[in-house]
Order: sequence, then C-alpha cells, then structure tokens
Amino acid sequence: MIWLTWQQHRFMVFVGGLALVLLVPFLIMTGLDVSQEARAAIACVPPPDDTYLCLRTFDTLVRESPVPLVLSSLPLLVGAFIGAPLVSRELEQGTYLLAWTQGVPRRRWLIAKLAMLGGLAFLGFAALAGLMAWWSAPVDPLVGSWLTFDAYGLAPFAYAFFALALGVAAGAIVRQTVGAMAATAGIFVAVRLAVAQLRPYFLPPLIAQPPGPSPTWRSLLVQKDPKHLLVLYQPADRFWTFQGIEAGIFVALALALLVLTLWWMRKRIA
Amino acid sequence: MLAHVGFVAQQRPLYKHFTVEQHLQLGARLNAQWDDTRARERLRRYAIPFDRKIRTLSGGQQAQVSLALALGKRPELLLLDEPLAELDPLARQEFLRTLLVAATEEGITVLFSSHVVAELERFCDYLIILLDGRVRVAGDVDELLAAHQRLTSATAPGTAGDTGAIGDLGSQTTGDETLAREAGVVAVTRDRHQTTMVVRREAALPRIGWEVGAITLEELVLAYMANPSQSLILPPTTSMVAGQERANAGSVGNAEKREERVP
Repeated sequence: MIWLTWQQHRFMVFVGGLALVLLVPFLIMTGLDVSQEARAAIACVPPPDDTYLCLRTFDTLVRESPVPLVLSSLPLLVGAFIGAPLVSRELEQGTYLLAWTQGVPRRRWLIAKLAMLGGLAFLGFAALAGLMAWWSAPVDPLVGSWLTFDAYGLAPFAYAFFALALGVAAGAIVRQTVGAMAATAGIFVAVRLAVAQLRPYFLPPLIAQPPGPSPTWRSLLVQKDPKHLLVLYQPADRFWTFQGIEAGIFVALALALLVLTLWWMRKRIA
Repeated sequence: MLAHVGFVAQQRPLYKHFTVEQHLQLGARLNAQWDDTRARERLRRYAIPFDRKIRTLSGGQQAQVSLALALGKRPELLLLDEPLAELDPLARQEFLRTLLVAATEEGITVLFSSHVVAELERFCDYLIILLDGRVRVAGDVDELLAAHQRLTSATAPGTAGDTGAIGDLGSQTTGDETLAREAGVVAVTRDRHQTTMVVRREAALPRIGWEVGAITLEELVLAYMANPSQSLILPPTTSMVAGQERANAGSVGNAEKREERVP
C-alpha cells in the first residue's frame, strides 16, 4: 500500500513539499520583522497615561500579518487537494473496482492511504509549527498568543486532520472530485468560523471593571458591556486550555467523519 | 474471501496514467498469492509492452491487462461483468482464449455476463438467462441444447404446405400462448418464406412436413428472450455440483462454470 500510495499521490507530495519550501523563507522574513518590532516595543518607554502606546505598532503588525491567515488556510488545502480526491477520483474513474478487488480490503486501503498521506502532512505541519513557535515567541509576552491562536500550537494539526477526514468523506459521498473539493472547502470554512464564534465561551469568561483586566491586551476580550461597565474576558493563562478544547473539537469531528466514511464505503458504495 | 475471487468490471478499470508494469507491481503488492510469472507470460503472448501507459493501449490490450491482473491473484472464482462488450472480434477471440486456458489449466471457475451470444457456445458449460431480474433459463449448455429442436417449414403459414396440427399450433401461438407453451413450443417466428419454431424435444407435436434440426445457443437465447413467459430451469448436473465443491475446498480442479446473462 505504501508503494501504491506513493505511485498515485507523489505529485501532491511534491507540491506539498514545494509549498513548504516556499513558506519557510516567508515565515523567516516576517518572523524577523516581528522580533525587530518586539525589541523596539520593549525598548520604548511609555508615557504614564498610555502604557499601551509602545505596543500599538507591534500589535498592528501582528494583527495585520498575513502569516496566521496563510497558516490556518493550509489545512483547507490539505483537505481539498489530498483528502477530497482520495476516494472521489477512484469512484469517478471507476478504478475503485480495481483498487478494492485486490487482496487488500477497502477499509485497510483507506486507512493505509490516510496514515501515509496524513503522516506526511503531519511532518509538514510539525516543521511549520516549529517555525511558528519561533515566530510567535516575541508575541506572547507582549500582546498575548490569542492573536495567533489558529496558526500556533495544537490547533493547526487538528484543523489539518479534520480537513483531511472531511475531504475523504465528501469524496466518498459526492463521488465527484471537483464537487468534493468545493464541499470540503465550504464546510471547512463554515465549521472553522462557527467554532471560532464559540471559542470565547469555551469556559465561562472572567469579569473585570473597566478599563479591563491588566494587562488588557494579553487577554481575549469576550464582550464589553457599555451599560453595566463590565468587561468579560478570557485571561492569557487559559490559552493552552483553549488550544486543547479547540483541538479536541476538531479531532473528534475528524474521527466521526472517518467512521462515517468507512461505513459509507462499506454500505453505500457497491 | 477477497483473495479467492477475481473480478473484471465492465469498464475494465485501470489507472490510465499507470504503465502496464505499474499494474503488475500493484497486483504483486496487493495480493498475497500473486503469480508474477504467469501474469507476465499472458501479456507477452499478446505482445503488450510493459513500459507503455494504459491510455496508449488499445481496448483489446487493456482488456488483456485487466484479465491478467484478475488472474494473477490466483483466484478460485473469476467474475467478469460484460467482458466482451466494446471489443473487436479478434480481441474477443483472444480474450476468450485466455479465459478458456485459465479455466482448463488452472481449474478456475469462471462466471461472466454477456450480451454477445453467438460466441459463447464453445466456451460455456452452464447458462443462466436473466430477464427483468428473474432467472428464465438455467442449465448445462449441452443439456439445454439437447432439450430443444428447431422446426422449419419451407412455406409460410396458412399456405398449402402449412397444414395440420402444427399449422394450427403455429397460428395459435399468437392467439393462445398457454396452449402453445403447454405443447412445448418456445417461440415461433415467421417471415415471407418460412415458419421457424423452437420447441422442446419432448413436445408432443407431429413433425411431418417440418424440417427438424438442432438449435444453436444463440437461437435458444433469442427464443427465450422473445417470450418472457417461457422458462426452463434444469436441475444442476453432477459436474456442476462437483465444480462448486471443488471451488469451496480451495483445491485445483478442472471445473469451469460460465454464465451467460441477457438482461
């Protein structure tokens, strides 16, 4: 199966490797900017009436950086270009009748392919996660890691696993490659946005009097209530708990999709 | 179970961008009992180059690659869905020859469906006709052929030569099918020059004035297809049962079983 997976998917593996090679200098260049601005922010002496002033430039730089967006959209590409065609192309071209009538049962065929392609994707994401840890290192103590939440830590791995499982499930159900890719992209974005909406409420937020918790900029602002003059927030030290919850949600969804796919391939595809 | 059954689907699916060699490797790596020597031999016999991509091969060559893959896993039962469709007559002959060799030399039980009736007589031992999802005819091919006769009258019905009980029966088939069926008539066809009937051998009909002949498998199939109300299911023969037992036991025997299906 390793041989077959390689023969069928080596082109996508090369493309993935190439993307990785191109992303590394991009991350290094932007990362150098980030650390330079961080040094400037630390060296700056704030006036007593606006302690945030020194961080403003740095905060804007991180907020407007394309890096978190690029990194958190990589799982989408994994799902659409590796996951979606995996089963749908075999169904579309009729070759599932060849692939699944050899000595290897279709369940093992799918698991072997997913293990190998998922493993390679995992290695790529691990390399990027290492780089991203370096990239975000100056961000955390200054403005907090919430800004790069979905590009940093466990979350990208869980997103990628979810996207892969979603792609395979869509492929098995839609039976058509382009349709499966579109469905994967649409559902992935929808689920990501929905979970991101829920994220501030993973745990009951803490309450503070205005101007807010200290330091405000390191926590996740949930809600500013102008009438009661209260601020709801998630403190910076909940970052890893939230990462765990977020990753748990997506891993659970991915596993459910895999079970669905295996069932579907057994029962619904003759 | 999967390891003991070979399957060639109707479209003969292969990876179009894979070479023949890659398919042989796929077979070798995905099947525990792969017979590489025989698979390569089969393809060499038809001069199929191993380094060519599938999409550059002719339909007949692709069919041979599909068959070599299915046979390479050393199945005890080989299933083929419409293997002869879309093949030219020569490719058809070669395909059937490979099948026949596999069935006789390696004792593989072969079950296939086909619309191509004419060429099956020499290859099939057992015939099943399915019409609208129901078995209409089943039996050993030789026994089926022996159980029927073709009656031909040189003149058209209703004329001077077409007299007596047969003539009445011939015209009754259009009006009263039940009577005809009870008498053992399977089908009647008429044209300007003659009347032809396919009848059961035991049919209680006087043959005077009719030319009696053996029927071909094609005539038999067409007769039953044209008359869906007719049905004939012969009990399984001893060789049939023996063939199934051998296949189940997993040993190599000389049994072959073919199915011919006409939807």
